[in-house]
Amino acid sequence: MEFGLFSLFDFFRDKQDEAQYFQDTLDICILAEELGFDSIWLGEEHFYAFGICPSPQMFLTAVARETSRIRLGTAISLLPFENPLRKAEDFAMLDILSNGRLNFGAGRGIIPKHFEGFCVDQAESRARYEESLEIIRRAWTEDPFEYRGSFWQVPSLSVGPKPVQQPHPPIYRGTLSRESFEGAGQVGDNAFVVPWLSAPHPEVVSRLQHYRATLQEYGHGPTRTTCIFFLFVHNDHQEAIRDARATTRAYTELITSFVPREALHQVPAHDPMRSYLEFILSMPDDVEKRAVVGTPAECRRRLYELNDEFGLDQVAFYFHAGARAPQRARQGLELFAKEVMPEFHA
Amino acid sequence: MEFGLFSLFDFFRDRQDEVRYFQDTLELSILAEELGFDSVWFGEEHFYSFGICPSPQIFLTAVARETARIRLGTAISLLPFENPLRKAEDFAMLDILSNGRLDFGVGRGIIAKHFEGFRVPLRESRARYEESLEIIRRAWTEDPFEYRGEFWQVPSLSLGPKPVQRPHPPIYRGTISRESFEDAGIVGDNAFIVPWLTGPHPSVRKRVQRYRTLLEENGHGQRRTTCIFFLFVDPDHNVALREGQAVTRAYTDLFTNMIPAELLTKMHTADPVRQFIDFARAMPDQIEERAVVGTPAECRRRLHELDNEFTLDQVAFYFHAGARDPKRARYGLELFANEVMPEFRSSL
Repeated sequence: MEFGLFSLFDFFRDKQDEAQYFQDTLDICILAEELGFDSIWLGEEHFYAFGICPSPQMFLTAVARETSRIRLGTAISLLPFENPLRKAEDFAMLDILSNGRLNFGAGRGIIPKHFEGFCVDQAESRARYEESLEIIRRAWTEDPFEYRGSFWQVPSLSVGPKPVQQPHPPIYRGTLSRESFEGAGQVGDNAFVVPWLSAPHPEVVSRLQHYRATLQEYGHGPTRTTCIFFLFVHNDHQEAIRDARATTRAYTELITSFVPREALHQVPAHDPMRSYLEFILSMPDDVEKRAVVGTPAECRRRLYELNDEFGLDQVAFYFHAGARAPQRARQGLELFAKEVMPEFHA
Repeated sequence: MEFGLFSLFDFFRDRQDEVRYFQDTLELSILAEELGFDSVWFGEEHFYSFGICPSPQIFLTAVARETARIRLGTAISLLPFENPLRKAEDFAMLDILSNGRLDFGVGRGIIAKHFEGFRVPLRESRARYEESLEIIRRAWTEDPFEYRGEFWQVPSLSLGPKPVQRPHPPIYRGTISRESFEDAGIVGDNAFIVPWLTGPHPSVRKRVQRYRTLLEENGHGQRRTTCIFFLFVDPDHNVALREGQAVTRAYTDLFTNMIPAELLTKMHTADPVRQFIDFARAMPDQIEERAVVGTPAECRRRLHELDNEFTLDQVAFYFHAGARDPKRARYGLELFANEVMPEFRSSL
């Protein structure tokens, strides 16, 4: 089992400082490598809609130069908003500047403010995402190549530089819905598993099984999955629970703030959007079922349970979320590395 | 006088390795800081049409984390090709990750292959450039802001993160033509001076004078200029000269490749494109007038002459160009730092 860190750079404008936030995140990434973590996964967000990192490729370039071993992933880079040739170029540079450490996680985005700001019709998100991903893959592997799509036309050209990893950096698909798992399985891409944000665990397990069955059906070899959880580890069980509730409450309120509360209450109770938002907002009360929380011994036990449930490969933890004090994140990571990680690395 | 390094990452696919090229450039940037240089300036190029760095902002982020003091500039970031909000975001991040060391140089681009690849009409380059620059400036300084332009529509939004430097990082305009110097003077932006690529020195001097006059007429304070030269320094005058000729020949051949030779010979000798290309191609035979070449003593003398001609503020040198051996670049930078730079430091 490999361990990593995950962040969407969720940012509270009223109580956090931007430059300090970047510095804290960078310091924690460096610490993660020192403590023996294997990977970092960072998200892309725009316009203060939620997170404050519009270019994980820029940030990961900084991390690349401060570390030497840890894998550098996006979770996820949003493809519908810009020319995919620019993404192919940026991530090839990151792969070079990190000496081949890129994991390219990609997705279609869901926050309406992003689509409004970039003047892209949200109804087109899936089609734009699929087209962009194909262009990026071909730009990395075919030289020259050309493409005629619904959204992008590329005359015959060569994109440079080329990534270091051959044939191209590993591609991870943002997978929440059953359809997106099926899409990843058909093409043989790697996948994310984010139970707390997807559905109750049995449903997530069923999607994941469907992904693995589809991979086999389409003749693809083994792929990788990155499973993302909140982690709150403390020598005092109650303290871990308190931290977990406060952090996930702040986080889920921010992540759902794009739908005003009054508007939410006017939506019929059975509307899928409303039930999804309510599922997210119920996280603080369900942390013991939906996160890894407790003393080191409890966290070890919980990871075994989750491993039985999902067949864990790479696990990534939220670390700097919900306006949590970076000092707490540091302490949690150190405790995890010392008292939980060794058992699973051995 | 301040000194810096400049590169467009000009890349020879048949004899250079991509990864090695980035590593060499990074190492030379780190060396530059150690030797006391003040800045690095990098260009943006796409699709192997000339240079190999499509995102100077990403490369400069790497340099930022390997250095502590040196200023990090683009020369230049091309604005017509992508949503200016993305540029504003990227460069704000670079300003944060470098602790406020960004000098944001921008331009409209001239290489036809870039415009074809990004499906942007070349004739719209100036209008797209001006619109994008305004959007970037406003995205950095107004919160929220909105914009309705010819090419881009921005609904009311706040762009983040914000750059560290206030009110925003210094903006340098890519200035080659007389009009671009005039625009820079009117709005009060900083400017580049690239004599070897622009025209005979007297005509370049006139453009710079016009820029400085316009700055004054429009009530702008002091602005900065970055003057870019080829530099070839060696204890042996003839070695410096031979290297200068070989490097600039390789460089100008690659650079002028963007116009096919058959097309060029069909052009009238008075055609401005042909004149521009012919002028660039004459460089190897005129390097003693158009570059800084020779022994350290000769380079010092030459810099004094150029200072009299242009009133030098920041000077940036090509260092890793024309498939030059990086070891020669290293050697030249060290010799320059030891035997030329000090004289111009003490005169400050």
